[in-house]
Amino acid sequence: MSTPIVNYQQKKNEFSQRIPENVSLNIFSFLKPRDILSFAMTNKHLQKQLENEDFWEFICKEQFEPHHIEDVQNTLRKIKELKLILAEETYETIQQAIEDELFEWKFLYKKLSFMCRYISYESRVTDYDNPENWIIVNSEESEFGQYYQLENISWLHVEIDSPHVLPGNYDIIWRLKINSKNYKNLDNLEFSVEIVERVHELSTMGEYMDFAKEFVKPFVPGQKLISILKEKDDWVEYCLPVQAKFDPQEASIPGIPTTFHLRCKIFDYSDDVLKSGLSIDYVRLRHHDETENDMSNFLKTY
Amino acid sequence: MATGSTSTNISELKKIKLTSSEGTEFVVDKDVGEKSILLKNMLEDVGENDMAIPLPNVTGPILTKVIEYCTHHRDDFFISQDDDNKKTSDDIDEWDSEFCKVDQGTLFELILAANYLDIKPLLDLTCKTVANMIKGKSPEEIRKTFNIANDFTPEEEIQVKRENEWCEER
Repeated sequence: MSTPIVNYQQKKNEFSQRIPENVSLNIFSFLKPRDILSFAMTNKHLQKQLENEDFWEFICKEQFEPHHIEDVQNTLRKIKELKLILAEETYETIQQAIEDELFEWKFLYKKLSFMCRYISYESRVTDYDNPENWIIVNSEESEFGQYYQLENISWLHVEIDSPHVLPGNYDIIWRLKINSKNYKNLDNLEFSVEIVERVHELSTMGEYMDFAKEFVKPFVPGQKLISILKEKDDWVEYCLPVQAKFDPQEASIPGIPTTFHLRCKIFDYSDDVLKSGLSIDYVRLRHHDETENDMSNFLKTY
Repeated sequence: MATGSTSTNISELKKIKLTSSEGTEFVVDKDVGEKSILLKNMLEDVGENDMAIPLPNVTGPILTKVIEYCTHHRDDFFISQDDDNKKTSDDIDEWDSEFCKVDQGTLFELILAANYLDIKPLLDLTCKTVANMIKGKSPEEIRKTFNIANDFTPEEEIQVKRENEWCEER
């Protein structure tokens, strides 16, 4: 065995030099993009590894399923093809260009982590129009430690965005509470879900392009539901009876996996009377279970 | 040549001897020692032999820790991670995470020992532990945590930062 004897004590502080490259590679493989870059930015020795294509190939293959990688490669090829068609290149040129196209692993990793990262299952209420009229309550009752409470507001509009949702059929679940004591005029609450199809990198201007194909699913719960919630007087997970459904088969450009921008709203624009008694914690998405059709499941008390 | 085909019952009871860098001798069960691919291959190469295997890269205290790990996991099948492709560092069990509660010097020597002895699960465990220490930290905080010297000039640092902007949101 010709392995040299290393004096660890002597080199105690030179972590990055002490650690063999395959080991730091292993550490990198457990990290998400931002942490990979932070770790690499500590030191030249580590930073150098990121310049190597093999590094990104390893990370890609460690962190993503082969079919994911293939999907993204196909998407990128398709986009390239479309660009060439728009540039009115000949069929042969296009075929050749696509065949020759080899994507850099670093670039693929960027795309992969971008597309797979934002499968948003949970979003807090962070966006509301009239902050001074909403009360932020720090409380154990909230699963995030903080919820928003409506007090004497003439109109309300709460929207929460999930910018990159993968295709699928989702339930939309609001965690909210209607307080019976200070309840005022919430009978006309409306819920809606806006869905915008989003295709990456097609636009020359920016990273992605939103398609005009936008559809809104409105839902007015009606007084009956409000009175049930009022009676409960506690936190419920309210599942909208409309789902957010994106079928990859119906994509604007067939064969390109898109992501969807989802905007969930609660609003009541009638500004004639003051409204009170609504608290909102979060909205989340859940994969819709076709077999679960019992309406009683739409409300869960905690 | 025929030694490899002895029944597993007998080979499991066999002991092997290891010598740490200071020359201390350790006697371990063969199946525990064979968690190390390096040792496993060596034993296959030399066959039945009473000679102690020298491990000049591993100190006694670290070898003790390594043996503790391999003994605890002696009945686990060390399968490669091929079946769960999504790498995560959030799946460390209680015993393992207790095992990794050591000072940083020890942790790095464990990493180096696991790498040298080729014990993949131990290497993964210790690397995950380091990864968890890195998560969410800025480069400056990581340097502080691990005593890494910043060898970038301020200009280089700005340049590197710019190249790496893509990881920022959206």
